[in-house]
Amino acid sequence: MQPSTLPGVRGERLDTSSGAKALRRGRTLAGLLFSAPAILGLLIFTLYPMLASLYYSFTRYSVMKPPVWVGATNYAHLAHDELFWKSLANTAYYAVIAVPLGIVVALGLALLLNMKVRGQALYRTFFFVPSIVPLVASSVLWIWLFNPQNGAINALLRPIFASLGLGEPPGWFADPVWSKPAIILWSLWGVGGSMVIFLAALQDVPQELHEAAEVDGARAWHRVRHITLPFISPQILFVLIMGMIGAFQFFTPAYVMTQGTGGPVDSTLFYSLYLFNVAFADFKMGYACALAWILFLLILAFTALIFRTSARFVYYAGEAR
Amino acid sequence: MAPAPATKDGSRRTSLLSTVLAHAVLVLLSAVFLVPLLWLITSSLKTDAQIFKFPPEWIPSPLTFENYPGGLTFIPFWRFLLNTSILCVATVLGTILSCSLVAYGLARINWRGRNVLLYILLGTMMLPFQVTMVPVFVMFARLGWVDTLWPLIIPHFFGNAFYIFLMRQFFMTIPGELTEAARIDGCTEWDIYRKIVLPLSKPVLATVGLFAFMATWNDYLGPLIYLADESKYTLSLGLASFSSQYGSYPGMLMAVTTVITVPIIVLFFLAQRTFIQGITLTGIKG
Amino acid sequence: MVRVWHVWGGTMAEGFTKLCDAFAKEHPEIELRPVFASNDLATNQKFFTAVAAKRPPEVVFVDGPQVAPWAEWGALEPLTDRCEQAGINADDYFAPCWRQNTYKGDVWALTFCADPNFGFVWSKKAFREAGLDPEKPPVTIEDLDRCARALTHREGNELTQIGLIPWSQYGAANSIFTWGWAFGGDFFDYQADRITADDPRVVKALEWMVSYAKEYDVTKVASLERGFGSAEQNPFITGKVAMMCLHIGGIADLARYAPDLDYGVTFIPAPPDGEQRSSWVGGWCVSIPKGAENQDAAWEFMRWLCASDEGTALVGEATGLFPGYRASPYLKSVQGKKHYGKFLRILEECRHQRPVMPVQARYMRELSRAVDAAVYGKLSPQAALKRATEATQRELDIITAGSSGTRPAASGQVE
Repeated sequence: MQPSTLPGVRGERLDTSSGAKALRRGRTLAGLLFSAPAILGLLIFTLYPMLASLYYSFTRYSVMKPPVWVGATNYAHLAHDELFWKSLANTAYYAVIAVPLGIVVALGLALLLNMKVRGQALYRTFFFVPSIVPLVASSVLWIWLFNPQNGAINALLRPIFASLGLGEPPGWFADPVWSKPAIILWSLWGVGGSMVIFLAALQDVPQELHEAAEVDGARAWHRVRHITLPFISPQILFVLIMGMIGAFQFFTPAYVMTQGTGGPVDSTLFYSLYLFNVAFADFKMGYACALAWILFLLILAFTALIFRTSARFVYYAGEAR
Repeated sequence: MAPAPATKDGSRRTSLLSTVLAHAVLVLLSAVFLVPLLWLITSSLKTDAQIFKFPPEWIPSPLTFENYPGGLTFIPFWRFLLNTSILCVATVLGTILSCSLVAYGLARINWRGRNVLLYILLGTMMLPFQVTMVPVFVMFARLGWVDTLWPLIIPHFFGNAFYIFLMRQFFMTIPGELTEAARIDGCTEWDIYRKIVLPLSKPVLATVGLFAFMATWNDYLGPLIYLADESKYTLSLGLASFSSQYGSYPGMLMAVTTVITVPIIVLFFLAQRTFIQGITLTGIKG
Repeated sequence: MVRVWHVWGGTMAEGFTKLCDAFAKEHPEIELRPVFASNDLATNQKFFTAVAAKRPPEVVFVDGPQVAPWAEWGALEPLTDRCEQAGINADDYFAPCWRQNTYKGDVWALTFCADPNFGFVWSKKAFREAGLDPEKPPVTIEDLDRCARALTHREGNELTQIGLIPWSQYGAANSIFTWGWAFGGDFFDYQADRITADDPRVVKALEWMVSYAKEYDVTKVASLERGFGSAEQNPFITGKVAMMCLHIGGIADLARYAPDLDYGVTFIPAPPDGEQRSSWVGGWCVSIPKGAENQDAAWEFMRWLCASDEGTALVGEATGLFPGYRASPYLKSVQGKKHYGKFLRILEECRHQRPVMPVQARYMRELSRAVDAAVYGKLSPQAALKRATEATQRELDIITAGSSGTRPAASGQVE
């Protein structure tokens, strides 16, 4: 008996015989059972608040008084809101630079630490430390490090700049042009988390492939490019997407290091900081929800884009059948 | 491609150079990365006046230890430590349990709708928390759970998109033949989950455990919003009380932060053996 | 049980605990539960969410200019009747304090402390070194500019000491408030309900501030103030700045971190056609959140804290700040005290408080942006303040259009 075939998910041929159907039903049931915690959590803790916030975005709502319906006013207002565009631009700047840079640095460190060097356990711990130290304690340090006149960073840079004829090193948080690069530089201290994920991923790369390639005479860099990277590409995708989602919602460190002003001259006014102010200083929770949903749609679009193109560079060894 | 140098001397020379180079880079980078920790510890051994001395001195003279007993009595440290520990253990357990279950379903079972669920889960992370936490808080208030630890624990038993996605990526690197073979042998999904996937996933489970622990240990906003009684406060809230607009105790803040941070560093140092040990399964992993 | 969410952490924690203990002794039937909640965006979130879910504390500390907005948005209970019954009225407090606490005809808070902003301090040592008379601080802006020039030292390309950073007096917004009023301008027209940040005298004040940015290179100056970043490391303490406006809490800071610094306190310099001995009142107030459970007990605590001889005297002793209650014995006791006495005189002449209207947070952010933009040369002072005025006015209009109720009559608005 010839099973009729239908195109299914991802264009694979779906076997529609009754045995196959039963198998699929069983799998769907199993999938749902395993996903039950997440599905329940979604409904209770996420879906309801998300829908609530969507509703609020069409209202004027101060949190403590009942919401007043205003239709699409909030969204219309966005287009003329200078700070909306400014904060979006700041956030995009940060995301586009910090995320890829962070991946490269984290990956580099992970590769470095994966080599059989003596004391690698210690080194790994050292690189992870800045991720652990709470910002409330270390922010004072960071501000001093970046001080244009007396800080350690410029103390190191000054002779280099002088010898290259570049003049004074950057003004970092005192200069609207250099405040975001300062924050990006600071964010590199926090790559410990991604580094750990990559380290864990590197353990899964099959040794024999490396050994075989070495015997064939492949240099280290080639081996990394053609064996290691593809094998950890799922985790690279993860760090990329999570990094992007996080970058779009980034603000706490900038808030702490610029004392919440978003300065100088709005250069560190990130989207979430603006949103936070609108919601809990200006009492415009409705407008804040509109801001939130715009951000949501943007992140969604970018994530979909990355996933769409990911098939080209991500390799899953364990593609389930 | 040229073959690797055949002479014994040649290979030794190359590896010696690369080792020295690697060490140099590692030491340099370590110094850069360790700066915040060193700052933290040396500041904890200074008086408040010394901390703001300019230019800053890296080795305080004289050394002061009074910030430690001072800081640990300024706040109800042990009470906060207990609360935080309870929270951390509960959330780590809940997280690992729920997230691994969901990730297994998303990675190892081929069912219709699994990708949709993944995308929806990711979507939950894209909406800034500032706008979702008011309805959630009202919901918990109606349940009577405000000013208890429950709102900080229960949600972790329902999965977390970040960890689910992370585990899913890891689970998908386990070769398909293993699970197929098990299925053919008649194993249920639950068996495969417990006996094959989990044991092979120690690195990611350890990673998630560590991250979840750290996230809860340092979580400030969650306890801030939901806890109103100081007896239930966590360490992160306690840290905040060392500072105020009218004057802070930076020395004590640094001391208590050191006491709080060092266990995590130690935890990481010990836990990382689990990352690097890898799994020995003949021929598959090294 | 009276849950009190207060802002007294850090060095003030001990003092506030003393206050609570003293009250508990007098009123053993009321159980006080103080909780530190620092009044920043995150704790505002905590507070508003609690009110929304009908689980607020009994007593909350509100920043002076926040009283009107929080009242407008339904976070507070009106206290008018309670004040009447207790015989508390405008005469009991310094005028700007009482004005801050009244909105739309009701009283919404009692003043816990009245911070006279600011005392103008100068480093006598720096004056001596610059050849200036250490007992003669500047009185006019012209004096001030002259002294600042003499007190600014450079070493090659680096600024080692600067006379004054006009825009760095506890934030850009507070700076423009300070100098704006000193120059004789004003920020809000209560009759017309209009923002007046582009008042010509305020513009003049900002132009003067910008002149310092131009003369001394704003990036270099900014790096002086960002020495360490947070409140206590203000550069006056480290000797980087020779003159500044000092908040009353700064006296304690200076005593802690620079006990040997020889300095004096005087009135803020002002141009001859400006306002002499200018200052404005800041400080914290206490309110009952909307829907709090034990409001009577809460009121007992508030009344003791803010309107009783005993309570307010203890506030002064425990915190080093001035109570807003004029009759408080504490105020008499500091009349002759070094530095504090001067601050008291400043408080007694104080005429201003930040505008009492619902979009206060937005206004302060816009002012901060305006100063920033002007100081960094992105906008002219006129354009920057105009932008701030228009943006804030737009927000205010939305609210006035949406809500009912009229502004309180002009009585009590002594400007």
